[in-house]
Amino acid sequence: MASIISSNYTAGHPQQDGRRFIKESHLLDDGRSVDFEYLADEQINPAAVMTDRASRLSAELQAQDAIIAEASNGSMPLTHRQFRKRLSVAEQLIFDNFDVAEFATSNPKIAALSIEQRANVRTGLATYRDAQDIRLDDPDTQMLVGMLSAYGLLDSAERAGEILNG
Amino acid sequence: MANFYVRSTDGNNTDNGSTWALAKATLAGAFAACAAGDTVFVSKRHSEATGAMLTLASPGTLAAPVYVIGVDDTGNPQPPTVAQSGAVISSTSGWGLDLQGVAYCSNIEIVCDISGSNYAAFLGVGSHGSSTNNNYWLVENGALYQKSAHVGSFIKVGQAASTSARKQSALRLKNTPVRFVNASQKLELMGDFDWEGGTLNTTTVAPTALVAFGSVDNAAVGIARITGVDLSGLAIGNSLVALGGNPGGRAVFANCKLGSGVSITSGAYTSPIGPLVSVENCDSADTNYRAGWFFPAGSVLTETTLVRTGGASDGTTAISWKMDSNADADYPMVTVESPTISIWNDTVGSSKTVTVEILHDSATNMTDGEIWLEVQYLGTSGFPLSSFASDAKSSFIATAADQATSSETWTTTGMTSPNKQKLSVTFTPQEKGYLQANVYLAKASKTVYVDPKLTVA
Repeated sequence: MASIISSNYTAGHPQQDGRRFIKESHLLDDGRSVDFEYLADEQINPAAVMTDRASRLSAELQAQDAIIAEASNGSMPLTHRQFRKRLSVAEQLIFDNFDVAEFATSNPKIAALSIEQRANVRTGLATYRDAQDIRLDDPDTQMLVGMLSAYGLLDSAERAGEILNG
Repeated sequence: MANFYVRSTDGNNTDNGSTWALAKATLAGAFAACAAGDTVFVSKRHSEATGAMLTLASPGTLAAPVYVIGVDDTGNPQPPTVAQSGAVISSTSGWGLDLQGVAYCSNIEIVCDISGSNYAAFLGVGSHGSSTNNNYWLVENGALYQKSAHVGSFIKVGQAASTSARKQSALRLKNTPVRFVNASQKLELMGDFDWEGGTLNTTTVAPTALVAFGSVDNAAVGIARITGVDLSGLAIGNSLVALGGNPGGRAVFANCKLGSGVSITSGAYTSPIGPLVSVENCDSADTNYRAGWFFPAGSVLTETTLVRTGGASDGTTAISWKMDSNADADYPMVTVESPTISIWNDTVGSSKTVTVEILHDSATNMTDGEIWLEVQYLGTSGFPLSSFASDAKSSFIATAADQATSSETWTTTGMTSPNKQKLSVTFTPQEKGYLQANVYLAKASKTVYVDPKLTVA
């Protein structure tokens, strides 16, 4: 987690209306510098502003780290609609119509599957439909997408990665 | 083009929406029934709250937007004749709200309660879902409010694409307030955002930084134009733009009221190409000259103390531009660039000399490899084609020479070794037109004051 290791400010000469430009800088332990420049009137105490900002900045850095951690673990739940938007139209058609006989018969990708492969897909789709939400890091989701890819039911070999990681 | 009616008090999405009596219950219900170019009238008494991801996908197109109008439905006029606010469309229970397609929306309050684990979606335009593109909403005389205090609940324009194809979205607000509920919330831009008139509502909290640019792969470049907006709710400790994020972004503020002590930018540049930030005539005090321009190599700010006698002014207050470079500035490409100074030229076929006066605090002269003037002029007869005249050194490998010294009078309060120099270029225009001058500062960690009043001889 990034944290502030030093803060300082410099005050410029007074402008015609008495205000001064204040340059304030907070150096983080990862090497970044968070800088501010503002016009301060005589009532503003730049040292107090800097101290207050350092406090808030620290809290924000902690909050941002929490968000990044939450987002990066891949566990954000998606609605079925959100997940559907990751699929192409052709892939959505297969999701929706895999069990429809006339579609399955006319679709060469489905027609090429063995009975066992079709059974695997049906089970995977049933699990998907039963889920209240879809998590991309859920083994069931990854297994279904991986299986569809392996069976050639996605648009291309790269699509599984795009759906799960995009 | 058909008219549709929406009223939550007695509407039903199984009705066809063709009259008030057959009104739809939700805007999404109307969008499902209407087509490009249609108009959707929403009762001022309408109030819908959806406890799920609320996607308002307008079937409108750029050629034929869908028009969503909040109206006075007293007496059930068909069509209504009075636009009136009061209608509220919101997501609740922690869900996001996304505006998609192309629509004009007036007199509607749009509220989003995105929070917690659902923060993958946001309040925004084209901010949710990977398959939408070219979303464009204009919201006028309405409101755009966050309801949740979740730290990551942004108002967002555009999104990261799930494939390598970028998706473009635009949100335009006219006379429409924006509200946040947590200081870390902000406008996160990966698309075009245009805000004309209205107020940043800070009754609950002021955002630490108002605008940020997305920092994810495959996102479109964010652009913000904020004009005539009351931003006085931002105060000491707040900033207009958080630097960082995807490179190439741009934020332009003009004629806005600011809070006292608000900083223009916060953070540090993480890219050599932006975002570029400009703030023109924005202040917390009664001035009409405060401006600032921010680049990865430094900044330019209006100065009122260190000024040239007889130089630029607003008629009352003399001004100069304080050009500050940071350690990254370097000849010839990492520079701080002054705003363009323009002046009309009527002379054709004879030589003109343009001069800009500068002041800095050093006994050592600045050279033509550290600061220079570049003037665009119309140097080709028969076409409006610019030529460029510069007093920079002639090439990268040329030896730098001092810029000329000057005898002009400046206020030099606080300086140890005030040094007055001038930048001049001579050229021969071949067409009437504007001369456009820019000063470039390439010396690292240097402060130079520039009088933005051109002398043309």
